[in-house]
Amino acid sequence: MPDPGRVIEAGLTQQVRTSSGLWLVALAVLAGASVLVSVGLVFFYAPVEVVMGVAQKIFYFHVPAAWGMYVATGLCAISSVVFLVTRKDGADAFAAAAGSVGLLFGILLMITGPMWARTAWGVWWSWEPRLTSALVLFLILAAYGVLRKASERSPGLARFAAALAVVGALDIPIIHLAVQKWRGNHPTVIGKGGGGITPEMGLTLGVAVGAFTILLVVLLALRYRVEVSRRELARLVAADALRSDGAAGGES
Amino acid sequence: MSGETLLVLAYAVVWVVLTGYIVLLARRQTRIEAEIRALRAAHEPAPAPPPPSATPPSAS
Repeated sequence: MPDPGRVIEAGLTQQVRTSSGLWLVALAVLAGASVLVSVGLVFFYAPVEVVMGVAQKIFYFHVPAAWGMYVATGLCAISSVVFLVTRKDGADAFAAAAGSVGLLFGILLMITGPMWARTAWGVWWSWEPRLTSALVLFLILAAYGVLRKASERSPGLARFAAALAVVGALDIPIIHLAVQKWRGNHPTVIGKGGGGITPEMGLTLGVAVGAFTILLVVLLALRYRVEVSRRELARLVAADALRSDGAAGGES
Repeated sequence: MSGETLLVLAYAVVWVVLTGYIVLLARRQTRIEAEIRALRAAHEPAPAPPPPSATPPSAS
């Protein structure tokens, strides 16, 4: 007869999995809908900027991509600190997921930024403070991704990856303050000295940032699920190898 | 390159990158889950043989 405790536990786990799956589907639908609304506002509501023309509308996905990179890097750093203090596997898995999503948003930032700069400044890239410090964070996230991949074979590297994530997060305030402190060319839209956009542009930007935030949560949940499954598989493979070794030892 | 081309290119790249990432995640999740199922199935204990029946089968 099966153990009633185990039956209840299995039932509860299944229930939690099903409800979290439903939440994820609902969030994914919400993300898709809000992104569609955002695209609609960008193309049919937000006015065309007088100087830059339609290319200025790249900004409505460029800024949310930067926001996504900041948030994911911050979450990665926080969960890395939790991992370094507690050594909990869940915190490390979440940090790995956040780092991966942060790199994804960093890629979007690094692609859309030069396209905007080409129209605004006439060049694809300028070594001005905000761009340079954002590139540094992007490279830190790329290095973090390489370390995470290596830590799949050498788990000891997870601590180094966690330390790198904390260093990456220290770059976020530098990026944010770069324009004010070092007088770069990059425009300031949000924060002190920001502005210069119409209410319609502000609303469109707000919706786009909201849509990307929901998208970030969905991607983070999907990536975390993959990371947890990958670790479970690694444990099963290790147990399988031990069992095989034991069987071989018993035969000899 | 005109502003319109840059705008379309930027948005296309954003959607291609995002869609590609989601597809990669989905494929990786499916592959890992299949491997987990295969490993668990390989180590599941063999089903116990049915208990011997009390009455012998009738010879017809």
